[in-house]
Amino acid sequence: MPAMSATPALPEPGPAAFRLALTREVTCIRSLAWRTDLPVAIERSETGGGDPDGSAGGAGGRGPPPLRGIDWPRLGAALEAAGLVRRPPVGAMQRFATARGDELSLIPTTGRVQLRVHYTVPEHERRFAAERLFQLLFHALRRP
Amino acid sequence: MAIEDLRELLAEQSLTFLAGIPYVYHCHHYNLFHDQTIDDALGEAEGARVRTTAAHTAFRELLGAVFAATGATTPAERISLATEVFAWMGQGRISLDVSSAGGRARSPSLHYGFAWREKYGARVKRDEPTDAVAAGFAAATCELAFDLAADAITATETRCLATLDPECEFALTTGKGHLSRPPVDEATVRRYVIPPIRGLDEDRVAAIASGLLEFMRAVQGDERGLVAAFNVFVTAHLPGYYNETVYEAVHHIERTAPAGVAAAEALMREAGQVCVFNTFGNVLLSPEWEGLVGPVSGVPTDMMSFCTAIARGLGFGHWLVHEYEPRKRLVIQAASNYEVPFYRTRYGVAKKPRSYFVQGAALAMMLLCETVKWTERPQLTNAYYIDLFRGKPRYRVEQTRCVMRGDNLSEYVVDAL
Repeated sequence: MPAMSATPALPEPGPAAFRLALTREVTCIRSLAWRTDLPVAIERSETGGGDPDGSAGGAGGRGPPPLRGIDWPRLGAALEAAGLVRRPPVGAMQRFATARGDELSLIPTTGRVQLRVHYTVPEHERRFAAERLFQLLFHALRRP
Repeated sequence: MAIEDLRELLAEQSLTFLAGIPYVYHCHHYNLFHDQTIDDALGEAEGARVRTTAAHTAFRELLGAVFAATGATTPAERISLATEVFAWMGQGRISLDVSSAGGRARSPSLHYGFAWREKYGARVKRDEPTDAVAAGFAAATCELAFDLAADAITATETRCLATLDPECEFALTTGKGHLSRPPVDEATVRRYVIPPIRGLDEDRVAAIASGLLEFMRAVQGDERGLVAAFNVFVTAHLPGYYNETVYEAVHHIERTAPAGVAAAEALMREAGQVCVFNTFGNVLLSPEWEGLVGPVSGVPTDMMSFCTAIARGLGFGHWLVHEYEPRKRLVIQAASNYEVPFYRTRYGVAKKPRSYFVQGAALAMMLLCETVKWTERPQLTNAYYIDLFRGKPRYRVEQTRCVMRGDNLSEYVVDAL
């Protein structure tokens, strides 16, 4: 299924460039569950532009750049700072919920993120609710 | 006493009990299809009657055990506890305004009505209410709250979310009373299980099943009494409901229209297929599964182990893979399942294998493990279901042994055609 919307690559400073796309999740309940995938490990650009503080090296011409993944603990903290409430994990899956009951589920081992709109949201509003969650995730990722 | 504290697990058989009464987990796809199957077999009016009666009997059994275990004695205590149990099960939150002569019940969020509207509401117009389970629950609650005889109260759904009413409503009136049924409790179930057997890939299956059972222990209804998990709406449900509706329907057809028995049995088998396709499929593709087990590999032998583990994790009993040759043959055995104890208790020894649910499930497991491209994120839509199951048949299933018939084991053989 084609991406519903795509966000440009995250600008510097922050992790190396990657794109986030919001797609409908595998589900038979209409428009309730959405998905995006974060890179488990990101190869930084040859110029080292993805390194927020320069400490990780990676300038061009000094060997292969190191791999850098999402800082999941920091992402979790950023989501909490944005007002989401951390819920008990399910195995490797970390869960965060809004006051209305919308949920973000993160699986660091695979990079999968599910955005689950609460079932009380009318169907015609679910896409927009998912986009709001998506934006929230995007801003949490950009948080220094 | 908290409702969670009433749960028991017969771990070696993957069977779960609430106050000593068996319960299992099924999703809204299966629940809606099951009810439709009963109506297709019996007609809408008789189907609704059989479904309501079955729910009434099943919830009388459960609530009677819950009240005994918790020491709830007053009508107010019992009604409050009953509605909490119903919500905990993911069946919805319902309020009752009743006396010993009946009364009314209402709910804005019942599992069946809400899920039906969610799944079909935009495409299908429905005239008949969906919530026979809640009707049976309401009648049983009213009877037990006021220490009335079985079937002293009859409940009828008068408004329903599925027929586009703003909420569901029920009228409770005095009934005629009938003889109570023998209970199917944990002691009964234990009489019809055999010692667990190790199947293929047993250690992995057992470990995953154990993790799922643990996960399911934390699952309970939210403030609306609904459970959204695994991309579906989930219920803790009573096997007594499923079994009574299935076997009463099949027996009715055997008595009145023997030529239609094969078709009716095929319908009941299909409910098992629908469960595996929707429930097992959505579990496998869910983030919860990915968090607990990891992403699915799509390798048929892995997927078969996963399906077997899911069956155990949902409390369906000790299923095991006895033999599996991809694209050729699958032999599932069950040391226990939720159909056997009910049938033997209610009807005695069967003349033929009658474990329709597992028959259909075994066939569907073969098809899903062989055919679905799991790593390509398939959409488990109705169109895909039809493509998989209603095209040219690729496999056939035969139940070769059945504890209902007096065999020492239940066995289901799927062969390529």
